[in-house]
Amino acid sequence: MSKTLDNHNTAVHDEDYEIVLSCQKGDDEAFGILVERHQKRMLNMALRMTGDYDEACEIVQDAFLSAYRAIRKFRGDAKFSTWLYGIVVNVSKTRMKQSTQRRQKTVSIDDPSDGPGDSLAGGEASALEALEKKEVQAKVQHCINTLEEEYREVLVLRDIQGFSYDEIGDILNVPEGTIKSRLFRARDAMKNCLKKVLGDL
Amino acid sequence: MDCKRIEEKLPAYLEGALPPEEGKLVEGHVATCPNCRFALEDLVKAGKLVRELDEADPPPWLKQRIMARVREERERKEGFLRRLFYPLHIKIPATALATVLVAVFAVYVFRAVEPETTYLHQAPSEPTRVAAEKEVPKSPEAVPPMVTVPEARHEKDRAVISMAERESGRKPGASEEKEAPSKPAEQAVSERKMVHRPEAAPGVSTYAGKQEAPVAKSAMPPAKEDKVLRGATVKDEERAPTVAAKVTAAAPEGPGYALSLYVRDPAAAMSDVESMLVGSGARKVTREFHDGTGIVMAEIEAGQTKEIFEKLKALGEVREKTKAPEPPAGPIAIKIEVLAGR
Repeated sequence: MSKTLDNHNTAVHDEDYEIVLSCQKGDDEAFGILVERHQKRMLNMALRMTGDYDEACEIVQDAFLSAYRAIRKFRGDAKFSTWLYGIVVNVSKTRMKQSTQRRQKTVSIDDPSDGPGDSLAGGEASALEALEKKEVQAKVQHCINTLEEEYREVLVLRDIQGFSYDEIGDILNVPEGTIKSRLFRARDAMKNCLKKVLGDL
Repeated sequence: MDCKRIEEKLPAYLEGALPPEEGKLVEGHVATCPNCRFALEDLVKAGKLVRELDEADPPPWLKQRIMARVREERERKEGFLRRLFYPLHIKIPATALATVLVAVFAVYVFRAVEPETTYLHQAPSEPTRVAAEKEVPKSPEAVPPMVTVPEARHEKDRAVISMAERESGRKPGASEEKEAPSKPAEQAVSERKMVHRPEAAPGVSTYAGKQEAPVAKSAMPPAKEDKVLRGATVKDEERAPTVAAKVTAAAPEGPGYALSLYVRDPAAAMSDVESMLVGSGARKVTREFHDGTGIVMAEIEAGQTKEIFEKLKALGEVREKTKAPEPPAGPIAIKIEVLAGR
């Protein structure tokens, strides 16, 4: 058990280090602290990845359970939170694939692109003000949802969660150049989608 | 460079991630192209909209549910570990089982060799008697009785020998020839030794099956005769009668007291009967169980029959089968058949 964090890189300051050690020794209460610390961020990551609050809650639960099962395998090569968020991204992807398969059987009648956004896009200049903030956010989320997975995850991690390229590299295990090129394409796609959905930005 | 390609580079330009000369190119284009300038503005606004997305708060039950699942997981894992180390739990019963098996095997082996060990127990008395008989020819006065002994024995030995033959498969003629009075005393003694063996057998046969019971019975009269004869004719064989008496005492012939016990579950009742007998001070308790019928045999003290009968009545319906006249003292062979009844 002690070997798990022996090679912990002390250069990376990890505020979860001690607690993770306790968890590795079988302290479930310590795990509760980690849940308390990270659940919000994980929930928001999952929420923006999926656009579904209930689904995001399920993802967070699954991700924490996976983390609990695998916490002894965490070696401290990166920050614990990074490791944890990587799990969230993976669980999100897995569940989205499953739900896409499920959804493909039903017809997507409620596609927001056919909603009021389009009808307003053409004419009224004050469309943005007329829309409630909540509705705008729904449109933004809709646009995120239209992105392909690999673009969506970098957009969520960088522009919504504000992770550094290094952290994103650790979470996704993808080189920085790839992250940037994906991010720029994601931003461009978002701009085009939002312009289409909201009309005047 | 056309607007479309410029637009594609705008995100990188905003991030300052373009190489310097490319950045200058985009900058120059945006300054002159209103469409591209709008596109750049839209990109900034879109980025702002994305960044301004509200943060959602986790529901209060989320942590509780996670921890509940964590607890479930731990229990499942512990259950798995328990199952994994189940052999350790079973180890104690396994050793106990092994001990019981060894004990049972030891008892079985002991029982199997008991006839021989009983014989061995008698062995020390055997040489003394042989020595006594050997001394006989040395004293001249003792010669006549020595001559008469084989003759006198002849008849009774024939009966005994026939017993021995039944066991060893010897031919009667051969043994009778050997029994000729002209033979040296030592030979006669060795002959006697062999003949003596069936006498010892009934002492062992208390536990043995039904088949041996008649053997024991028929072996008895010669044994008694032997005692009488030896007592009468060979007066210097002081030890002989004691040996004979010992043999008879240790060998209650057949079941002196046979009962049938009818119970609902003979198999289960066997142990009750056995423990009752042991509790009553019975010795040489043996049990057999075949085809739903059990036989418990033991040796009890004379005068205990009534007590045993009463105790058996508590276990089921009892019927007395045979009851030989009780001797005032000494062991009585008891045989209890445990049968399925109402």
